[in-house]
Amino acid sequence: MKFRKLLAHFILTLLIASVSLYSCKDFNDVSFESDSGEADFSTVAAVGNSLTAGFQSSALFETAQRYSYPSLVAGQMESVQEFEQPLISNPGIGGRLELDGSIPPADPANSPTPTEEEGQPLNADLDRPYNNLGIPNAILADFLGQDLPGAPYSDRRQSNPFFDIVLRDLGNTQAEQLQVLEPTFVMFWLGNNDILGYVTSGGTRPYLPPQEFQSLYQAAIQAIVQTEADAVLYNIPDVTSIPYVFFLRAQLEQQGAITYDETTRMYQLATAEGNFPIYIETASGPRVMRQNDFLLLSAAGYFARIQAGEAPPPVTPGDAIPDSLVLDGPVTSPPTGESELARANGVVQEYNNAIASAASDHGYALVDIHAAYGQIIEDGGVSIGEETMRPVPGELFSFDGVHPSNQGHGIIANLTIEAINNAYDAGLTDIDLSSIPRGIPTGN
Amino acid sequence: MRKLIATIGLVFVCSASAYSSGFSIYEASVRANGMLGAFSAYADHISTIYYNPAGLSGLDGIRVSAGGTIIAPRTTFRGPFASSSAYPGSDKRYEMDEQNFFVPNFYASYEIEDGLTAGIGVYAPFGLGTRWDANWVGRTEAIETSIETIFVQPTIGYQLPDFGIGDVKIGAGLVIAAYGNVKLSRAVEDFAVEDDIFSLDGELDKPGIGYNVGLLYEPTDMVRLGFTYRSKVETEFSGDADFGDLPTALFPSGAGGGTTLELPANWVAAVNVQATENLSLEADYVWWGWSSYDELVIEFDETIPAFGSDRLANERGYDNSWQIRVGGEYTDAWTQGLSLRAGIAFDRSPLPTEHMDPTLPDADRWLFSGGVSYELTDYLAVDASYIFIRSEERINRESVNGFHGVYNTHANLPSLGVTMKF
Repeated sequence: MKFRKLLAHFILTLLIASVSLYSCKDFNDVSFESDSGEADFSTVAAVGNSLTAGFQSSALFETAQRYSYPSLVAGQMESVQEFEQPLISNPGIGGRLELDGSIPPADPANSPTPTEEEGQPLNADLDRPYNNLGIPNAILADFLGQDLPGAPYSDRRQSNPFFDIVLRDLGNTQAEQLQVLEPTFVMFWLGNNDILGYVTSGGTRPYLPPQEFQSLYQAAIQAIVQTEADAVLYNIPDVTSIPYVFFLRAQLEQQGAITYDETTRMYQLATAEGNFPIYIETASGPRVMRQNDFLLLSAAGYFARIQAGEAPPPVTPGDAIPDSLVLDGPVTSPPTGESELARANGVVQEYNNAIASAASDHGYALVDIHAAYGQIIEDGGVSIGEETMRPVPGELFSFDGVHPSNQGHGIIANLTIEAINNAYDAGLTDIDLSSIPRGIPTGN
Repeated sequence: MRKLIATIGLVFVCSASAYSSGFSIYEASVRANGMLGAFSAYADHISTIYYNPAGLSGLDGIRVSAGGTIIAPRTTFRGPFASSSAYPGSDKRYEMDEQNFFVPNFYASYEIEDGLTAGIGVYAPFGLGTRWDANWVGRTEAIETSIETIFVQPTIGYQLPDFGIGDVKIGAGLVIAAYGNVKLSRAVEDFAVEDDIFSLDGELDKPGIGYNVGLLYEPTDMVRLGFTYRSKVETEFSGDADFGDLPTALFPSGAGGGTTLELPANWVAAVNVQATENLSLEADYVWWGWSSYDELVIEFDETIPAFGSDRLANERGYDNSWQIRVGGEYTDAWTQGLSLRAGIAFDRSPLPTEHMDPTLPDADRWLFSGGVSYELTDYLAVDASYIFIRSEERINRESVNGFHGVYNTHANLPSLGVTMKF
């Protein structure tokens, strides 16, 4: 009888314990707080353009967005609950440059071509602004929605589908949505596109004058100050550090299609009849191509036609390479200061001065992308795991030659972490770049 | 008082520092479940074919038992930690897809002559099923993983002649893995394609063969000692690999693939005490030879250029492990023919933290059970049991795959069956 009672007690206890245990589903004794130092990482937001959005290989697509530098940095801030991005299913939107899946990726014949397929937004019904407010093609004035001469914000917003994808109808500008998010920490990287259009068009499209950049940037920073968030700012890289500018010339030289003649200090086109000086069109008329003149990636098709004999070779002033395909540089003998390259570099320098003083005025962290990219170019690459990845398309850059690859984003994320740790006495841990998947766009 | 006991029990479990046992399933009988498998010495039910074949001897007439257990595990992952390096981290909570698995068991025996009984058992001693959302953060680690097995075991039990030292029974069975299926899938993010999921679906090629032997010794009427050994069983699976939209130049479509799983050996040492006329108590020590599962190798029938090889090896690094199982049965409680059972067990995980991943986020576990049988007639009894499993929260900061986070698992296992005797 005694045993029976005991057993009954035991079973009852077991039952109560089971029911209670069922409700205590997760243990909760793990703290996710990372060492944030003087900063607060509880709500993180990123503002920027395609670089911030995680745009790669001419498109915005999920697998690249997942490894965008803001997403990677937010991941190192363990306290971040949700870092939502406007994910778009593969192959994304923009006409992604893809390899052919049936040919090995290392095969030189396998060159990236744009796909006609499009992806779809995956979480468009999120009922709050995304944490990643990066909008491909956004310029500095887009942040606050300022009108520019001949280009009111409403027109700019309407002509770029990414505004609607990122902003939806939760606020007319990135700045408005940033206010709604009430961030405690902001990553802010704008300004690239204010000079990039000038560079990628070979100096045929305008850039934002540095004075205007400075006042727009100050206004933008004021909007961030109002959120009371801590922030990290990014400056603008040297225009020659993106493959879009330096890669084609190097590639053509490597293929032997063009050569640099040391004695004449001129670039020459290799033809069956011999080598002839190459002519380029500049703002001040045609001239021969020299050491500081860069062939833009957009000239790849032009050279393909020349090699196929479909276009006259640029060996006479009349057949010079069009101005829009060349970023001409300063001629050293006799020295001339004026050139597209010199102007672009000067503009970038002034932009970066404005960014640096904004960072120091407000005690924000600053990522010196300009210096970091320069160092990578000088070193010829970055060693990741057992291999060295070069700053070229398909390695540190995606196929479009402008936007970083997954690994490139990893590098920017680590630079960001270093800058935050220094500025805010935080202890965020680095990212192991070798464990980031390559994510090479491929079609079948 | 009752409340106090419950509270103590709860605190005890929630703060338990724990250990577990890979993908073995010890729930091979509704009755044994009630005592949490502390059954290798008690052996008074036909499912002793699984727990100790020696117990078969002495089961008279024709006996049949059939039952099923539903295993309903629930797992969550929180993270990944910042130390997960390349995984965009967060303090997010991910729930594993809720799956319920039905694990059947069937046993039949026939007494050939006094002291000699033959029987057959059908049960599923190994199995595993985890499925995460195809877009979850750990998608390159695991999306779906499943192992199913059905074993058939013809068995014979024999009672040795009386040597004057008490009853000695022996038994042996042929353990045949008769059916098996493995599935695994995960994403390969090296290429950004629409469907970047690699999956393998394999069936058991041919039956895997092993054996079990058992010994039961009753020095007195009060005490029974049991010992069982089950050999390992090698099972070979083969099937089709699917590489989704991954580049065909590197991942050939139509490749076949397979794997060999060495299902581990185990042994059990058990002692059962008949405390009163109605109450028997048992404690079992179960050892598992999980170190045989040191790597999972997928072999393809052609070279996969992406891997530069025709095999893909994944280190598992399991350690040998053990379980302590304690249970009791109280017969004729309140009324004739009603038996009550309860059990508690501790299960040490064979999975070292550095090899822990979402395919099987195993952890040390505490198990609690209750069970009941009622004899409706002299020929028919109904059995029911319930097991609750609580895994220790497992915090992984040292995974070799770099995927770090917090795993929590609990499981409910109701079971129901019938036992018939002719």
